[in-house]
Amino acid sequence: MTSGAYNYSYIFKYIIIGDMGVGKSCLLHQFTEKKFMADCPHTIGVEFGTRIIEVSGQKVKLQVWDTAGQERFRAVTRSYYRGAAGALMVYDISRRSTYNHLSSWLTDARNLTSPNTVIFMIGNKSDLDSQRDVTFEEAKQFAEENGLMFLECSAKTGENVEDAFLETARKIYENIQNGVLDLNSAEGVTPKPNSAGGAAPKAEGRSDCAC
Amino acid sequence: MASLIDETGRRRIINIRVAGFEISEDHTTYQIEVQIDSVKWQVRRRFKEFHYLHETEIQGITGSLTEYLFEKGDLWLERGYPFEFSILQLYAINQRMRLPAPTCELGSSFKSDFGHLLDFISQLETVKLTGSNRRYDRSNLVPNSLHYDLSPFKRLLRLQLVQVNPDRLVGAEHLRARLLTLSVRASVHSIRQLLLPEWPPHRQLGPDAPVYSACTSADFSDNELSEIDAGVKLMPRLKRLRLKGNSIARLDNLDELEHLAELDLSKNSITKLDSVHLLVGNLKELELANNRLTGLEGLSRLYGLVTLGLQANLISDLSEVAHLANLPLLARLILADNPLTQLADYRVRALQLFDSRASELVLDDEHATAKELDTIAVLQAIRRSRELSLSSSAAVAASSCSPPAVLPPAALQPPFRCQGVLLACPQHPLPPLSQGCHAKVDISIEKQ
Repeated sequence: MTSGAYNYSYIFKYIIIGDMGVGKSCLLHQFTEKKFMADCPHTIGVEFGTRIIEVSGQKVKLQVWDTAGQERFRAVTRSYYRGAAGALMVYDISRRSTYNHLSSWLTDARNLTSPNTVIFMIGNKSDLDSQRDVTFEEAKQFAEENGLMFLECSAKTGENVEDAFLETARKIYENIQNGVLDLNSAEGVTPKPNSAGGAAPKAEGRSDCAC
Repeated sequence: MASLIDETGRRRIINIRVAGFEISEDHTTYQIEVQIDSVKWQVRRRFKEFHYLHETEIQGITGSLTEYLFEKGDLWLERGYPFEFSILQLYAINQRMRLPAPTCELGSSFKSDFGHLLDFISQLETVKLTGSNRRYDRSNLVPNSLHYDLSPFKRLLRLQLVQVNPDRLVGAEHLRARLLTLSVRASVHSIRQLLLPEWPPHRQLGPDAPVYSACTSADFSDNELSEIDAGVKLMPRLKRLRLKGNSIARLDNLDELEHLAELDLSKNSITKLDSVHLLVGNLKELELANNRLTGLEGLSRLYGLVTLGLQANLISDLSEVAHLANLPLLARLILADNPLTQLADYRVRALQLFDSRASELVLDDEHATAKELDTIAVLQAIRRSRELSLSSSAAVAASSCSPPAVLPPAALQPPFRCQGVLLACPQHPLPPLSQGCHAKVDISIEKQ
C-alpha cells in the first residue's frame, strides 16, 4: 500500500446532478475506477466516490456525491448540495428533455449552494454523436449565458471525463488562492485532518496481513 | 433508530407517549414509550438525559463515527487494520444515505461532514461486522432483523461476519470479483445461503452461477452446517477452507476445488472417509481432530499430505495407521487421544510403520527419540533379515549363480543396545540369521 493515498492537502466536496439516466453514476465510476460500468443500476438516494488528484502541484482529495436523478428522490438530492465546492450538472446529448431540464437543476444549484460553488455543465454520451439531440454550439451558448464551465464527455469512452473533474478543481483552487473561498466556512473545502497526537506514526514494519 | 421522514419523503408513523413518571428528591424520571412504524421501545429518563435518545438515531450513530474517522481514518487505513462495525452502525450508515438531510449541519465545521465517513468506508480493505439477535438497549429492535448493505465498501478484500443474519445481507454482488478472504461465525446453516442468496435454494448450481472468483481463504467455523453444501463450489479458487465446529458427517462438493491445500474439519461428526484423494487430491494439510473416525483407509492415497491431525477420534487399531505409511510427504501426524494410544509401546509401533522415515515424522508434536529410533532400527533389522533369509533361500532355489545377498545398511550397525525395549512381536521367534551375513547382531530382549 502506498502512502500516496493519505498524502493530500485539501478535501473538495463535489456533487453530481442531472436527470435520471444521463450517466451521473457512470461518470463517477469512470473517474474513480477508470472503467465504464455497463449496466449501472438506478441510484437510490446517493452514491459516493473519492479520488486524489493533483492541482497546481497540490494533492487534493475529491469526495464526490452522486445523486439519484429520479424525481422521487429530489428531496434527498437537494439536501446534498450544502457545502459543495463543485457541482457537475449533467445532461445527455442524445435526449433533449434532459437538456431542457437544466434550468431547473441550475436553479436548485444556485439556491442551495454558496455563490462560490463552481458549477460545471457536462453534455454526456458524446460517443452517441449520431443520435445527437442537442448541438454543441447551443449548449455552449447556454453555459456562457449562465457563467458555467462546459464540456462534452463520454463516460463510456472516458473522453473529457478527467478534464471536467480536474478543471472544476482548478477553478476551486484558484478561488482559494484568490481568497474568494474562505477555508474557515463550510464551503466544501477542508484542509487535510491532522492525525491527532502530532505526526502520524509510521506503520511499524507490519505488512498487510493476508490472513 | 429512525428518522421522521423516510427516503421517499413520506412521514413515518410515530407515536411517543409518556407512560408514567416518578418523582424523587431532586429530580423526576419519565417513562417514555416511542413507536416509529412497527418499532417500539421504552425509555426511563431524567430530563437531562433526553439527549441520549439522539445517540440511538441514525444521525447520532453516523455523526460520532464521522468525527472519529475524520481524525483517525487515514491512520487506520494506512496501517491496514481491520475495522469493526456493528450491524446497527452499518444500518445507520445505509439509511443515512437515503435521508433527505445535508451531509453536515449548518454552521458546523466540514469536519463533521458525513462524506468523511463514506470516504473511509469506501477505502477500507478489512472489515468485521458483528450482529446480534438480542434487543438493542431497551427498544424492541433486534439488529439482526435489519437489512444491511455492503455496497459502500468499495475496496473490501477481507470480510469477517460474526453472528449476523445472512438473509438480511444486500449489496454483496460487487464483492464477488474482489473478496480474498471470508470468515463467517455463528451465522449460517449453509454456505450457499450466504454466497448466493438471490437464487432460489432448489436451483442447481451450474456454470452460470456467479462465483467469488478471487476468494482463496474461507472460514465457516462454528456455524450450523450439517453438510458441506454445494455453495462451497462458489469459491473455486479456495486454498484454505476451515469448517471447524459444525455437524458435518461427510466430505462433499469439494472435488471442483482444485487449489484446495488446507482443510480443517475438526469438531464435526465424521465417522468414515472414502477415497479422499478423489475429492481433494492436492491437500497438504488436513485437520480432522474431534470427529468419530475409526478407519483411515480413505486417506491412504492422499499423496500430497504433509500434516494430518487426527486427535480425539476413535481409532483403536494400529493397522489403520499403516494406511498412512505410503504418504511420501507426511511430516506431522497427530494421533493423541485415540484409543490406540493406550496400546503398549504405541509410539514405537506407530513410528515403525513409517520405516526409514520414522526419524523425520513428528508424531503427536514430538520427534522420535533416539531410543525409539534404536528400537525401530532393531525391528527393521529383524524384519529385513527375515525377508532376506526368505528371499535368499528363494534366490538360491531359483538360481545358484545369483550374487550373494547383502544386508541393507540399517542392519550393519552393531552392536544394538536394546535394553529395556520391547519388540513389536515378541511372540514370534527370531528367524535364523542367514549364512551370508557377516554382521554379528547381538540383541538382548526383555520379555514382558
